[in-house]
Amino acid sequence: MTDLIRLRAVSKRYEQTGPPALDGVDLTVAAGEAVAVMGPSGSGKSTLLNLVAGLDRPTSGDVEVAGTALTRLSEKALARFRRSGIGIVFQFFHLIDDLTARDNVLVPADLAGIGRRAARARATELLETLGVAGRADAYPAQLSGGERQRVAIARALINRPPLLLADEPTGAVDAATGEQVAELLRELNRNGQTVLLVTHDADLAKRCATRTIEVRDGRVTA
Amino acid sequence: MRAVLIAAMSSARRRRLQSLVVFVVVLLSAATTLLAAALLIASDAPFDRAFTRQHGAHLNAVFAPSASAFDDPAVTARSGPYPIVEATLSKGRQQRPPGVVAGRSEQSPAVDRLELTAGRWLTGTGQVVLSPITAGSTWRVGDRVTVRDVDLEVVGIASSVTATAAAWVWPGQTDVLGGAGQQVLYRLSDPSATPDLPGMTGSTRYELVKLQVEGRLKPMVPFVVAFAVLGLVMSTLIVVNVVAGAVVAGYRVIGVRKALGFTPGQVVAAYAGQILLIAVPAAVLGTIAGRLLSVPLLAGANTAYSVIAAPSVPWWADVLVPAGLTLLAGLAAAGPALRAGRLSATRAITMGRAPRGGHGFRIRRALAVLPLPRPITFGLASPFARPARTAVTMVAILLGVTTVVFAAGLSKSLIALAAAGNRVEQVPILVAVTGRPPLGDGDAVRAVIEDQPGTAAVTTARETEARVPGSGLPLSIRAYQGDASWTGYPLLSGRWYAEPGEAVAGARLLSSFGVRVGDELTVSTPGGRTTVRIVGEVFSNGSTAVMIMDAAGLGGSPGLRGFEVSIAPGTDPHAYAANLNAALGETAHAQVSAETQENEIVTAMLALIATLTLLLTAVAGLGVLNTVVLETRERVHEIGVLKTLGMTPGQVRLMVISSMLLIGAAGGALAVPLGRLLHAWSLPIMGDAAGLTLPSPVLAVYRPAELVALGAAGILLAAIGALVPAGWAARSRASTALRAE
Ligand SMILES: Nc1ncnc2c1ncn2[C@@H]1O[C@H](COP(=O)(O)OP(=O)(O)OP(=O)(O)O)[C@@H](O)[C@H]1O
Ligand SMILES: [Mg+2]
Repeated sequence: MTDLIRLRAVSKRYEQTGPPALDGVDLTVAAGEAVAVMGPSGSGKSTLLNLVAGLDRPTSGDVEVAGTALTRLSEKALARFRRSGIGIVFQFFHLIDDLTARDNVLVPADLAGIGRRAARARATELLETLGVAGRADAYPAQLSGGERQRVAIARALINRPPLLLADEPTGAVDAATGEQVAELLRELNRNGQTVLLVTHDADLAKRCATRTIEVRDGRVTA
Repeated sequence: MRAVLIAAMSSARRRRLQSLVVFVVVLLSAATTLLAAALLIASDAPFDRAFTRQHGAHLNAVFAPSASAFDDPAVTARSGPYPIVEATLSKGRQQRPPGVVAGRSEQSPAVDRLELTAGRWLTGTGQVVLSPITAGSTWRVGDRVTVRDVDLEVVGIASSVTATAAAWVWPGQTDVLGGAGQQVLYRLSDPSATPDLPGMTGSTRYELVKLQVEGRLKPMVPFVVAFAVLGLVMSTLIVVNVVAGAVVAGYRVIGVRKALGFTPGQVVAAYAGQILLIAVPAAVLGTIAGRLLSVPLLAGANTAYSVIAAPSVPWWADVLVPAGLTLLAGLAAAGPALRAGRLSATRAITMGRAPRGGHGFRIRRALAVLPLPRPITFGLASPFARPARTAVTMVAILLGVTTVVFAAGLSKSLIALAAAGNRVEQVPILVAVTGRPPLGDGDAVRAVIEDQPGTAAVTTARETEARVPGSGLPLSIRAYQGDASWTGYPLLSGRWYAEPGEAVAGARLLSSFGVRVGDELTVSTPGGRTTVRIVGEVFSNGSTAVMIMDAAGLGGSPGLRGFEVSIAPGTDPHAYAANLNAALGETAHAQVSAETQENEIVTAMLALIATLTLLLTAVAGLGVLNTVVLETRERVHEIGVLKTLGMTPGQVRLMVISSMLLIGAAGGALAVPLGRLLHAWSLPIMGDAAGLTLPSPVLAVYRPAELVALGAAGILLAAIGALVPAGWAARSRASTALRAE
């Protein structure tokens, strides 16, 4: 199996003084895995995810995703990498308020320059798979939390990224919806999608991860 | 109350850039307002005010050297007698036309108190104080000048409201003064009284001076007033716009505060307080800055009004301007804050964050269909999602561009007006004959001018007072000897006179005597009665009724006024005047007409208008920057999301800038007709105020290409305003933007 994510001695410091947010992390994730990152609040989970997404740069160490060394890329190249290399799902959905559900899903395809017709077909298919096809023309403000998270997942998957990142995807939805989201992630992984999932929720980790790692004070402990 | 204060201070600190913009806008507006107010005050009856302040002379009387009785019951106060002489002052090769040099030791006697604009008053012989007109722009304190072969040091420049002398020397300077005559300056119990002064050989009444000064001034004043009013209105509108914009941007915070238990009253207090915290020091500083700026500018305006210094912005303006602006800013903040205060907490939060639905969404979707890159369609669509914010930005651009359009038009009109009145281009050289009237026929002087290399054309200008039988109104006739069709009077209707029985006339004459082009008019002059046919109307900016005709059509020999000269293309007027003066010797004096006082007035006015325009455009530009910054800040979250989805920094920049382009284009496109309309509407009003029919070059000043360029200024203003925040947005970290929520 090929390695999709490779972190070597990665440290991240936001401030000059005090302990670093991440402290010499080594991590490898193979294609097809679903890895859950767990740990207490403030331990550095989101920081780790942002580094893998190319949203932030490590203070030292190397980050490699799908064979690309992110640390050496320009901001522009990082943006291009994010378009099709990864999909991200956040705790608070982060949908764009003045776009419909369908148009939200279409944004990464538009940015990647994918043909409008093909993109729309893919969006419709995803919305159907995720059970929100009926809400395609609604605006985020008109959707429930669960519906919003499913739209966000569709948006993350539209460009068929090799890696799906999720930061507390069930953190802002009720238990029943959380179940559905967990089920969805497991289903995706079963179909070959590599997933890196950050969560506090041991139950969620157990249900959809093939492997769990623990972050404590910026270090991977397990 | 403590919570309110803390809230006000913390918001002011947190929105540092916004606070800075409000600060600078209020500061510049205060400076502009003070300047505009100062100009309005300076433009209000400047002659009368200076006349009162300087205890001006109602009567300036000249006596023979031997006279010794100077009193009359009609006289309430008197200065003099001062020995006087008519002489030419020169500095190197520069020479001034002959004028009165008075021997006088007192600067501020009972009548005709002189106001110093530079240097000091005389303390003894060997010194001279010049009038501002004599000093012009080239002679300064410390220079040495020659009068009747005597070398003197310029120690000061001082102004007399009725221009009683061109220069003053110490009474003991007998080598200069040489007993030619005596000057006595009177104030009279009734300004129109004619005192019985047997020894008097000549006199000038203040009405005449006033008429001259105000006649020169009248066409200018409405322009300055219009600009001052524009300055006041624009700064008011922009302050309201920026402050209201700042409050609208804070709706979300208002919502959060209400959720925390602030009452509507406390919300309003916190907002108004936040604005006042910034507005009060800004208004005070702006007033100080305005006062500092007003000193050189008012000095300019005062020279322009040929009245002098003591730039009197009254003290209450220093209180009124900052108080007024602070109140304005407070009210502008209170309005939207009150609205926000009454909203429910959740409504305020959503209003601040989520855009309102409806058109915005539909337009956005319509734009999405366009075959343009996504960042551009995103950008173009975003104004429609937030109509209130968009309106605020558009108004800022509209005000800025309208100001520029109007100011450009006004400046061009003023230049055209001056050119129409002074004919500087057609008549670059004026020659005055030295001495006291009667000056003879001037043929010898004319022959010298004609023989001078570089002379293209000469015409002898004569002038005489005349009356229309049965009417008490005075009129003056300007009679040219020889062809004068080239002298450049703008024709408003009809044609130029072609034979001795024909004349052209100014608007004031036509209206005073109820004649029209084509009518005949009989006038009586010292040389007899003549009937002429008025064949054309010319533009004339004087305050008296004037008729222009061929000297051959007038009986007798009207007084010689001087010569109007045009020079061959490529001839340098200064060199020409210097050479001509050398050839003319003492008999006459040539002057470059562009350097006459009237033209310096125009320069001073243009400097004023340029300063005000610059201030107003800066304020408008800041208004734009302000809204773009708000807009971008408001959208950091959305921009962060787009960046995580793969929008590159370049695309972010493109999106932010294109979000302003439509607004800029619309603002600019609206501003051009608005500025033109304002110009077209206000100019005839100004003309009416000055009693002038304005010639078409003064009215039709906008060329299509210029208008297009000015309209495009809206887009430019918007793009420049967007550039800086677009850079921030492009550089911002998506991870930070998303954490902020
Ligand atoms: N942009 C930033 N600037 C400064 N400090 C930061 C920034 N992002 C994170 N930190 C700090 O780094 C540490 C790790 O933060 P991180 O968000 O990675 O934790 P987390 O494990 O995701 O916590 P949570 O479970 O609460 O989301 C924290 O101490 C946090 O305050
Ligand atoms: Mg986190």
